[in-house]
Amino acid sequence: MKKNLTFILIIVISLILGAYGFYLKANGYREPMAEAKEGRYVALGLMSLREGVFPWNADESDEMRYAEGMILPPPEAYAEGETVPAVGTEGADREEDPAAPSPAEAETEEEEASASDNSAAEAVTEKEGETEGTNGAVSQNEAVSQNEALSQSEAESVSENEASWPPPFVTADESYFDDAVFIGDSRMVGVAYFAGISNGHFLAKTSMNIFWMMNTAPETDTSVASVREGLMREQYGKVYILTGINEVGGDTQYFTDAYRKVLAEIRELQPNAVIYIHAVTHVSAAVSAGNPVFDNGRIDERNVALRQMAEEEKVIFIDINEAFDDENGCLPAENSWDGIHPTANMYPLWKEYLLSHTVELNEGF
Amino acid sequence: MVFSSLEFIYFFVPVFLLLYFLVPMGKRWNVTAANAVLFGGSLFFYASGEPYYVFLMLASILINYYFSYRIAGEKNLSLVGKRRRKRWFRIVVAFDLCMLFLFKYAFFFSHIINQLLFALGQWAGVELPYLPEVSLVNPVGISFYTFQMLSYVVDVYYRKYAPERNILCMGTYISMFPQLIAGPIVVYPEVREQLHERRVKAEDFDRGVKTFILGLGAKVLIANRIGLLWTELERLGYESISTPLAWMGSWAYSFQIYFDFYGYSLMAVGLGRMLGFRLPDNFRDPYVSRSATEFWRRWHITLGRWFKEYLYIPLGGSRKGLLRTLRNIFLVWLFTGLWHGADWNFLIWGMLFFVLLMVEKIFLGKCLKKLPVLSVPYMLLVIPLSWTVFALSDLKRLGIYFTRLFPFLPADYNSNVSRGDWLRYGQTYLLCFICAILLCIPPVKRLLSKVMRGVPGTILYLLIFFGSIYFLAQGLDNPFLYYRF
Repeated sequence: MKKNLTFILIIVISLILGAYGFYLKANGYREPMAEAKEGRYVALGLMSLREGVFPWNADESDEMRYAEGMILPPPEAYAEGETVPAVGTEGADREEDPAAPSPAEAETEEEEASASDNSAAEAVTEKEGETEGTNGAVSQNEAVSQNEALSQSEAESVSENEASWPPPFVTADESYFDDAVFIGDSRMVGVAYFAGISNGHFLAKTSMNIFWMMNTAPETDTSVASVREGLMREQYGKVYILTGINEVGGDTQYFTDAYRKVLAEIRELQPNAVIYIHAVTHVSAAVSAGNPVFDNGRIDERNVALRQMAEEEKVIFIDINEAFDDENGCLPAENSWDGIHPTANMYPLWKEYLLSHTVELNEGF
Repeated sequence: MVFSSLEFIYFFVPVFLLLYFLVPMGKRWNVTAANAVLFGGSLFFYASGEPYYVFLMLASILINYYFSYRIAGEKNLSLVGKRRRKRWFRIVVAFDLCMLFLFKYAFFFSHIINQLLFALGQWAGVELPYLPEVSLVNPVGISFYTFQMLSYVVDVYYRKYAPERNILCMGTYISMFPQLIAGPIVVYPEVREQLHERRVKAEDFDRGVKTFILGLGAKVLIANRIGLLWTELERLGYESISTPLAWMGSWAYSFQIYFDFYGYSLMAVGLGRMLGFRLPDNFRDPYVSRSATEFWRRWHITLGRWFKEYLYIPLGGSRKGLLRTLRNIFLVWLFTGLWHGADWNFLIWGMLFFVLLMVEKIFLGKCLKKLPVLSVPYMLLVIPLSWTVFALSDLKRLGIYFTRLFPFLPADYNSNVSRGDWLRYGQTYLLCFICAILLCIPPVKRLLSKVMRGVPGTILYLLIFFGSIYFLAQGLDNPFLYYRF
């Protein structure tokens, strides 16, 4: 017995950890690793420590932990409508405050509400653009056709109605990024290092996601402890957000609601900034076909929802996929090693795209 | 199933050990029962990853068993008997090699032949028939177990030892799960006695557990961590990495492959010891070698031994003149390269070592031995460069990587290097590099093995074990949110 102390201790500790993991599970702690069959409770017991769940606070409910920003609410519970944080309406309320001075905007909102006779607004609105079928066959890649519809409508809206949303894209020069801040996941890290934008401020971190975005410590700027702190420290004229690929697996409504919440907070912190949100980026055809989660169809579905949300929230939706996609609406395999991240030498395209997709908003927005 | 998985550690090992130690050890029939458990467990282990190829392995075992028995059973010592022995021997060796060729190399070679046919057809202006390009999935571990079987039948043919009568022992020897999928390549005399009579002492079991933990730590805590750097470079695209980062990447890969393989071998040896076997060591601090020749005496020792015993020496070794020696060394390295994989870069890699070993044999070796000033920088180049060739099967990408390593080489691609990238990655991976470098130095390892004794040692082992489990758990995919990018 004594000679095999190591082995015995491994068994004992594993059993304790497993029992603890089991206890957590029984108490409603969600299971982050549903794919693990063997040793799942041991893993659960160990991984809970990383999330700040310790034996002395293990009896706290997940909702409390969510409130403390430690974990995410379980998507299933959310889908059942149990713990719905009323972010949608909240976001809309908050959003009005900074927007209030602009009379043009109020107009837009009205228009949208009764978007029946305004042809520009009609084409912009997703669903109607689809049912109209003005742009020919409804291809499997919805996002592409929607982009076309959008650009058509943009052309119209310039001449017809300046107040409509989104405002037309114009091209800017590099100084446009002087007062810009870029928030996002690993691709934004790539933009930080490889796109050639030297004057912007980057608050990016690999594996960033919308749910934890504000609390995430950026890796491109280690002087701030979180994105929130970075946004508090300085006032910017433009905020660029890129996220969505890590979150593709979950529920769309859940995702956009979380997004609205983040947008509302950014509005509060940066009342004078134009907010650009990136579309979820497409993956390569191989990844899309071979991976149950990263599916371009699903990503397009997300982008439809994001575009609509952008309209409602009055932020600018930019579809970077236009710059990167091949003819099938996928990230070309030769431009990406893993089918998700563009290779470093592709990133200058990103800058080009952003510069050619800027908007000029009226004062006071 | 790999050793460094929760499935193996928390499912396979506990269930298997329970069954294995239910059988009381020591007596003859008990060993048979224990072998049966080990054989059955190993088949389950293999089948969980290769549900179809497990039958291929079983068929191979049966055929090798039968033929080796026939070879040794030939009592007729006349010329006829000798011929018959030779015939049996040739059939079984051909069978083993054909299996290996079919599953591992058929695609590569049929592809080459088709390319040649195509070129020939274009030159002659006719359409030539093409070979079918069979692309079979390479059965896990086929290179390892085929080599073990070959060593066995060769030894039986040359009467080094009598063939195994007990098919269970033979099957257990080949399929024993600790060494089945990634070696070490065991020769039969090393386990023969233990297959017939073994006892697991408490000390041995403890040693085995600890060796396993060290291997697990090497794989999960070092190889997997430092390997992330290599993955990141792939993601950036080699076109866009700075020269210092390229060298860092090559070294990261060198450490990854060493600690991965070394860790796996340690786990194998540890598991073997827990079950009452003494499997041979596969590595002896290869990265402190002073020459490529010495490197190969310390790296994957059981493979080098195999090629020496069963290819180099039968071909005549170095006893038949310089030309024959050259040819023999060339063949050894050609096959060593191919053994590691069916692709051009492995051939280049093998040839690289052929050239290095030749040069060292002729003149460089003596200088290297005397002058550490020369041998240290020499190995600091040879190790990462050879592994870079090994790592990149796509020759185009290999070419690009080399133009990053040596920026004076002509490059014709669109490069977008981020300034100071190596500093950024250097910071992130500094700890990994320090640990990896320290663990390559024998005095440090000796010091550690002194520390890792008694109660403090036990605590350290537990930390390594649960640290590894933690990282394994962390690596599991979250089904809802892929927080990875």
